Amino acid sequence: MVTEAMWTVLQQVPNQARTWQGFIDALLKKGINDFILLSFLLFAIGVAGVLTRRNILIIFMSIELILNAANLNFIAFTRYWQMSGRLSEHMGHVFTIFIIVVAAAEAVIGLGIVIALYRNRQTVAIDEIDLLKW
Amino acid sequence: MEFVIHHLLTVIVFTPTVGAVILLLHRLFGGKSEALMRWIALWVAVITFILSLPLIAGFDRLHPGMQFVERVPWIRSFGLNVDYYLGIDGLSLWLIILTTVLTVVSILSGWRAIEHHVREFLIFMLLLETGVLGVFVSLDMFLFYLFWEIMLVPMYFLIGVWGAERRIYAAIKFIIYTMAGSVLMLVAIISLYYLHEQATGQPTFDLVRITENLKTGVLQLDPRVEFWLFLGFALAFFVKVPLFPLHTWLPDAHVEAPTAGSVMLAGVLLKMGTYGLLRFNLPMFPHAAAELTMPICVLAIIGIIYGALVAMVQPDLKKLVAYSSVSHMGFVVLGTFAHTEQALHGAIFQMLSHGLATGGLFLAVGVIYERRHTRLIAEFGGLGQSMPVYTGMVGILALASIGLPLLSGFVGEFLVLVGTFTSPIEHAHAFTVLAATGMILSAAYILWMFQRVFFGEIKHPENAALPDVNGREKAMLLPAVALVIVLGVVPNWFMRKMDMTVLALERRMAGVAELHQPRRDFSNQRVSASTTIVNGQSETEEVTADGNRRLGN
Amino acid sequence: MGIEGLGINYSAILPEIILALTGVALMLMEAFWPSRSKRRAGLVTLAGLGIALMATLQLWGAPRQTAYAGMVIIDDFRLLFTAIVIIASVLAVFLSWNFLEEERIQPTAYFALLLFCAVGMALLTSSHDLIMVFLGIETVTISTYVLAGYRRNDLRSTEAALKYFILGAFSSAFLLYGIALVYGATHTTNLSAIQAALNQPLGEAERALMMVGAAMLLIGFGFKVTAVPFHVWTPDVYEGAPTPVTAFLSVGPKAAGFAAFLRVSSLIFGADFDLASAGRALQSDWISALAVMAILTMTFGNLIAIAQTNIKRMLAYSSIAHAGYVLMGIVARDWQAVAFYMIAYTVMNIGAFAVVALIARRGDEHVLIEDYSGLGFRQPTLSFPLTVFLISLTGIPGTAGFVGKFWLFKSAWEAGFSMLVIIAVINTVISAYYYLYVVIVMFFREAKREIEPVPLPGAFGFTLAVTVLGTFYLGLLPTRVFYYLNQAQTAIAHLIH
Repeated sequence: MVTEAMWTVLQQVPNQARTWQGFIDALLKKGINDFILLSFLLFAIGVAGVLTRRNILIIFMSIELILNAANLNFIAFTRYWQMSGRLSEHMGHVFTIFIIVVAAAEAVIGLGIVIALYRNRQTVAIDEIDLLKW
Repeated sequence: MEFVIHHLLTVIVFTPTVGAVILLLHRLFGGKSEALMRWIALWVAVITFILSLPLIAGFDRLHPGMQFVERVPWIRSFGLNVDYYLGIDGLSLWLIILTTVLTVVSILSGWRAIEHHVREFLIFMLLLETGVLGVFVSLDMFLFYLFWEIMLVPMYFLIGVWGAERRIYAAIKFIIYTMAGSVLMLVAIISLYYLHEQATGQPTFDLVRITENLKTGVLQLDPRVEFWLFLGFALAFFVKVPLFPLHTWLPDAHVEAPTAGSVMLAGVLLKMGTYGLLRFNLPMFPHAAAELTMPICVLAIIGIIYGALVAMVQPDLKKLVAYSSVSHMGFVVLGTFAHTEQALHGAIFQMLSHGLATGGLFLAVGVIYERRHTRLIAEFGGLGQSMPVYTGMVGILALASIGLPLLSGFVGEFLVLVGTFTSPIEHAHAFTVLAATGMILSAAYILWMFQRVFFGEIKHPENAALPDVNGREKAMLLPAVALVIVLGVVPNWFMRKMDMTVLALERRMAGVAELHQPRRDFSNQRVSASTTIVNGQSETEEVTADGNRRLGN
Repeated sequence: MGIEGLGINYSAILPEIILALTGVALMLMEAFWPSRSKRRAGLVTLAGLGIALMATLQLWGAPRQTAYAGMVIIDDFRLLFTAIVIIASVLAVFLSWNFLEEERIQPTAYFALLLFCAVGMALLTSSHDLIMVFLGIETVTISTYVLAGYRRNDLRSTEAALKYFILGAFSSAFLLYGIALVYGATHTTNLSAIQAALNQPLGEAERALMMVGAAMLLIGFGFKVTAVPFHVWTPDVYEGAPTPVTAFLSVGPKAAGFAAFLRVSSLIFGADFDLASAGRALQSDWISALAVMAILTMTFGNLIAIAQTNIKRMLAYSSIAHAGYVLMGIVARDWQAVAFYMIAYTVMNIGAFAVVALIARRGDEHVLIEDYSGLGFRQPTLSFPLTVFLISLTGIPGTAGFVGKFWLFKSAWEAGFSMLVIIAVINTVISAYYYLYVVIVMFFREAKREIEPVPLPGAFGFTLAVTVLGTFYLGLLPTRVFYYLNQAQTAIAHLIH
């Protein structure tokens, strides 16, 4: 069903613009709500992942998912406004780059911590790391 | 010298602090002699006492306002106008003297009893004195609260470090009870400050000015607000007094504290509560005071009788004296809320009398505790034979506590009873009768205790060889004994100094009491009473007669 | 937009530049002239912090201005909080001195991380844009993740670092998502521009976005300033991290977090909006959510602190409770009260942790409250300062803690939050119980087992002297600090109204 919907959208895109850019612009023409919804889904999946998974690496991935949900929002909003004629809107794109850099730095540190912990405990399961409580 | 004369109150309040600093320096320079520390502390306390004497001489009893005033801006920012503002009136004058006297004897009482951490003990005693004196002289609410709370810290240590077995429980109970009361006072202070700023545009913690503005109606309080403010302040003070249901910290604190701590606790710390009632609650919120008179008086009466009954069955001397405090402080509260001049006079006088008599009794218990290491009444008996001088001194203190004429307790309690009897409040007669019952009960338990401890045969052989009081112990008991006699014989000399303050308070309340009791008319008497005092002929008897006339109306 | 339009202004971020350069210099120094001397690294760090502090102070009184296209702001608010976080870092350097020696830790990287954290904190205080807030927070937290796990062979330390990392990254992601939604609703992440956008009616969809975005901002900040119910990481991290790091975490990043929170809260939600505007409608929700958060934070913090047996954990819960008091200041929109409280809290809390760090000794061995029994008269040089700090944390008059609390209570009362004040004072009494319990253990109990006295190294002696004097100075003669805060008031007046 989803592929069908994508296909109908693609049909409306002029031939010369059959790129990802063109595809997304075409989607955006229909309104921004789908993008907000998608990013919210990503966000929700991320939160659910953080809260329910016990492998630390999966939790990291879930956190990255939330960050990318925010990225998607920034990009979509900015592009949407650009398409509606406000060409001076560009902050969202800039911020996305910031966020990607920060996410990379965070991942480095996080993996470092996990390695240090793994050396000490030989586990990456979050519920086995329970020395500190109350 | 010039500085001392112009800043007498500052000098009195902070001399003990200086003493504490000297003791600290003594340590830093490696001093180890405990005797030297004791003498330093004693001399500092004596000097403080001597410095407080000019207050009596210099006190102008016809001056209605604050005296020895010192005022320096302290914190001035963000509408936070805090002054270093000191001054005394007839209410605080004698409490200051009481404090300085009792500190001297407390330090003497710890001379032998305190064996470990002597320096710290003395430092905390001196800091405690600063805190208590600060409470009595501050006229700025912020400063008042500062001293009020700071004083808890040394007392906490005194109970906790040098106390008896259950000292930790007693210390924590003491501090939690008092803090719970006083933080609500902090809220009341903040809100009063805010209301005053709203009404007059002057941000100030100045107690005198706020009281004045409340009186003249510049600052008018909504009855509900006044009610809550009254409670906010009153709760802090009732815990300290302590009024009946809030008294449970007191027996523990008294029993566990070292003798010096008990003396300070009974002698001055409890007075801070009644002082606060007279300084804040009555003059600031008279309407709420009138409204709440009935429940407060009932609680005071319950306290008087309950304290006396519980004291009667105590096997422990210190506990007995502690519960007698609950009973006697009930008289002070009753006198405070009877809203007559005699009752107020009586209440303030009873504060002094109780401070000396009960403080003295605690000292006396400390004396035999040092000898026998027990405080159980059953362990004694026949001490009159082995320790005659001691027996005589304790006898005087005990009789003063009961309220024998010519001793201090009589004057205070009698005035409270007379004042209550003529009071405009409802059921005044019933209150008087019940309070008088409390007096009788107090005679019963004190005399019974006295009989069991001092008279009869010596049941325990170790009591036979007990040495009588030595020079130091005489020196520490004598001031209390002498003062209860002096207070009992020439009460007027003391009461004259309070006249103007009491009169102002009584007037403030009478103006309100009229609202509640429209049939009674006090205005004439008030005018006549004030004229007599301005002419300098205020005599207790006259005032009493005046009260009787009132009753006749 | 030309290069001028970017508003490049190096003097505006001079403190940050100095701090960052010092950090980089430290690492280069290590690469070219390796040395294990902590003295050299420490002195360079202190010099960098000192110069940054001077750079901050010489900007004092400068007219309010923004730079870098409105992303960075210089006003007295920023300078004050920058000064606070730099001073907290200086004290942390002194506290770490001994720790580095005992644990035989390479000092350069440690101090460099501390400096990078200081950069982040300074950026946080100066941020005038939600993205700057995010970047600042990330700079701070990424450095502190490492610091928390610095004792890397110790299980507790690595576990603390991991928990801190997961929850920190999670909350940053929340914050970021909130920022994205706010951006969607208002077309901007600049704080003043958001305020302007909120000052007019928004469409239905934008309002919904703003609503959700604001809620996520609240959650994100709640994590950073350890507000209940987002506090769960705090006790674990504070307990597991090396004590000097805990001391630093509890004051520096917290003060910076509060600075950012305060600025966001007062610029976006604290403004006097027009009646029909969207901001007006959001404002009351925001303020009441904050008020509830403040109540929960102080009450839970204090109640759970009572049950603690580990002093670091107890101080962690106490720090949560204090965050609750500070939230009152944000609710009352009185930033000066918050600033004063943070100064006071920095002084007394660093002092308390200094004593805890000394007594804990190598490997954080003696951190139970029981370990303090009999300490009182055996080592008065430690026990009396600790008593002073605990009394100050309780809020007994005459100490910094009282003046700070008094001011917060007064502001909240005047702003009409009387119930909040009453709950706060009751909390003060609860807190007296567990703070004074430590005093009981120290002075009123005999030692359970013999512990040989701890030597008092010079750096600690200095820290203790400074913090004890500071506690009394702020408690008895706060007028001078008030004066400077008052000067700043005029500069920032339009920020609040």
